[in-house]
Amino acid sequence: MKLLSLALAAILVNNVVLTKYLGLCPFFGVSRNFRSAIGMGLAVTFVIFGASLITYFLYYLILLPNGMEYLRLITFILVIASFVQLTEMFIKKYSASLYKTLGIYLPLITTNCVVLYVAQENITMKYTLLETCVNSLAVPAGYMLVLVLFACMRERLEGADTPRAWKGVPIALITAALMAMAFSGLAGII
Amino acid sequence: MWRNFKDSFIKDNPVFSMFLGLCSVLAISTTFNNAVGMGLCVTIVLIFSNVIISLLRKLISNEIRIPVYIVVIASLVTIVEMLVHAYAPSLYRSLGVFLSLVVVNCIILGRAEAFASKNDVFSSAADGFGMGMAYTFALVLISVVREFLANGSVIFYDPFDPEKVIFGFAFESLKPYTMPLAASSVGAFLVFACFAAFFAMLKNRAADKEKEADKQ
Amino acid sequence: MKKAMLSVLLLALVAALAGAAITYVNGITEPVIEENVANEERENLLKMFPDGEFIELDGYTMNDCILSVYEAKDRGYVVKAAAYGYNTSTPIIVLIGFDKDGKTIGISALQQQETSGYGARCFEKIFMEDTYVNKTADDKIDTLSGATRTSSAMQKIMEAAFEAVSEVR
Repeated sequence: MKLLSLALAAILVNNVVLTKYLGLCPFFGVSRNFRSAIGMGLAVTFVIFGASLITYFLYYLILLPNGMEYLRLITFILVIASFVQLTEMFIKKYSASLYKTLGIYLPLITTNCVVLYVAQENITMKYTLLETCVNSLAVPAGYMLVLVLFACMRERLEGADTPRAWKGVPIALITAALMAMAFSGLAGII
Repeated sequence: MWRNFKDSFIKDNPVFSMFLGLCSVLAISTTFNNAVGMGLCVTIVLIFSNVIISLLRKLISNEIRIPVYIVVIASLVTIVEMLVHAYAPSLYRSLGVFLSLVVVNCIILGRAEAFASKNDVFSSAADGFGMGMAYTFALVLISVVREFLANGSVIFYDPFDPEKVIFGFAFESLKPYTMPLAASSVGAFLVFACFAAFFAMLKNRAADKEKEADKQ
Repeated sequence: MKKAMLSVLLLALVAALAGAAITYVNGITEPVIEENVANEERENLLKMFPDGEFIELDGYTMNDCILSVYEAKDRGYVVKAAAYGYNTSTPIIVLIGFDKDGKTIGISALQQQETSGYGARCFEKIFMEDTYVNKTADDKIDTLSGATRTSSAMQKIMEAAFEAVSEVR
C-alpha cells in the first residue's frame, strides 16, 4: 500500500516535469512528435533505473561506511555519465534497431536533471532498496506520461496559427502551464 | 567586448532565447531572494569552471574532455554548496536540491564546451561572468514578477543574517488581491512564457530591421 | 596506446585533485554546519522554555512521526514531530511543548508548505493556540473544515506526541 502510494505520488501528484520543473531542456527539444517522445521516455527510464541502483549500492556500501558522504555529488554524476556512455556503446554493438530508436537521445540524458535528482532523492529520503526500485521506475514513468501527452499536443500546435512572437517554445510553455493546472487537481488522490 | 556583453543579456540571453538551464530558472524564481542567491552561485561556478577548463584545454584530449568537464564542474558545485550550507544556512534551505542540480545546468557545460575549451583564460573568465550575469538577470526579472503577484511585496534579506532586510517594498492595499497561483508551477510557466514571447518579439524586430537595411 | 594511457592518467589526476579540494573544504565547513544545526535546534527549544536546559531523550517507541523528544530540566518536555498533509513533498514539522503533567503549553510550526488560504490556516497563531495549546491527551482536538488533510496530519502529530510524552514521563 505504501509502495503504491509512493508510485502514484511520483507519477501524478509530484510529477517531475509539472511540479518540480525537472528535465525541461530535453522536454521542449524532444517533445515535437509522438515517436521521439516514446524513445526518449524509454531511454530515460532505463538510465534512471540503472543509475539509481548503482548509486544506491555505491552510497551505502562504499561512501557511507568510509565517511565520505561529501563526495556524493561528484560520484553520482560520474556514475551517471559513464552509465550513459556504456549503455550507448552496448546498444550500438548489439542492437542496431534499438540504437536507431534510442541512440540519439542517450547523450542528452547526462545533462537531464531528472536522473541526478532521482539518485539524490533516493538517498535524502532514506528509501529502502524496494522503495528505491519503485521510485526510480515511477518517476520516469511520470516523466514519460507527460512527455507523450505533450508531444501529441505539440503536433497539433504546429498547424495552429499562433502569433509570430509566441511560435515555438513560448506557446509550448503556455500549454505546459495548462497541463500543470490540470495535474494540480490530482493532488488530493493519495 | 561591450557589444558581446550586451548581446548576451538581450539578444542571446541564455535563458530567454536559448532556453538553457530552464529547470532551475522556473523552480528558483519564486522569490527575489532565491533568484539572487542562485544567480550568484551559478555565476561563481561558471567563472571558475571556465577558468580551470581554459587552463587545461591544451592538456585534455578529445576523448576524455566530457568526463574532465563533469569532474571539474561537480567539484566546484560541491564546494559552493558546502560553503553556502555553512555560511548562509537560510539560503541553503530555500534553494534545496536545486543547488546541487547546478551540476547539470546546461549553461555551464555548454560554455565549457563552446567557449572555454577554445579560448584563453582571461576571455573565458569574462565570458563566464557575462553569461552568469545574463542568467541572474533573467532569474531576477521573472522572480520579481512572480513574488509581486503572489505576495504583493518584494523583499531582499541579507543572506548571511536572515533577520535583516536589505531592501524591500510592500503594498498593503494589494494584499487581498494577491495570486498564490503565481508562486506555483503554473505561474512559473505562464510568467516565463510571457517573457520568452517578449524577448522573441524584440529579436524578430531587430531581425526585420536588419533585413530592411540589407534591401536598401 | 601511449596517448590513451596519458589521457587516463590525466583524468585520474584531475579526479584526485578535485577529491582533495572537496575534502579540504569539507574539513573547514563541516564543524560550522554542525554548530549551526545545533544552535538552531537550541533556539527553537528556547522559544518553548526560555532559559531552559535541554537533554535529548530516547526510550519512546519509534515511529514515523516523532523526530526527537527533549526534556527541559524540571519544567517539561518538547517534542519535535513531522507528518505529511496535503503537500506530499514537504512534510509539516512542528515543535510542541508539554508541562510536567503532560499538558501542552505551546506549539510552533518549524516548516509547512500547505496551500495558503486552506491548509495553511491551521498554522495561524490564533488558531494554533486555541486548538492545540492547553490540552491533555484526553481532550478532543478540533479540525478545520476545508483543510481535512492538514488537520488529520496535525491530529496524527498530536496523538504521537502525547503518546511519546506519556512514555518518557
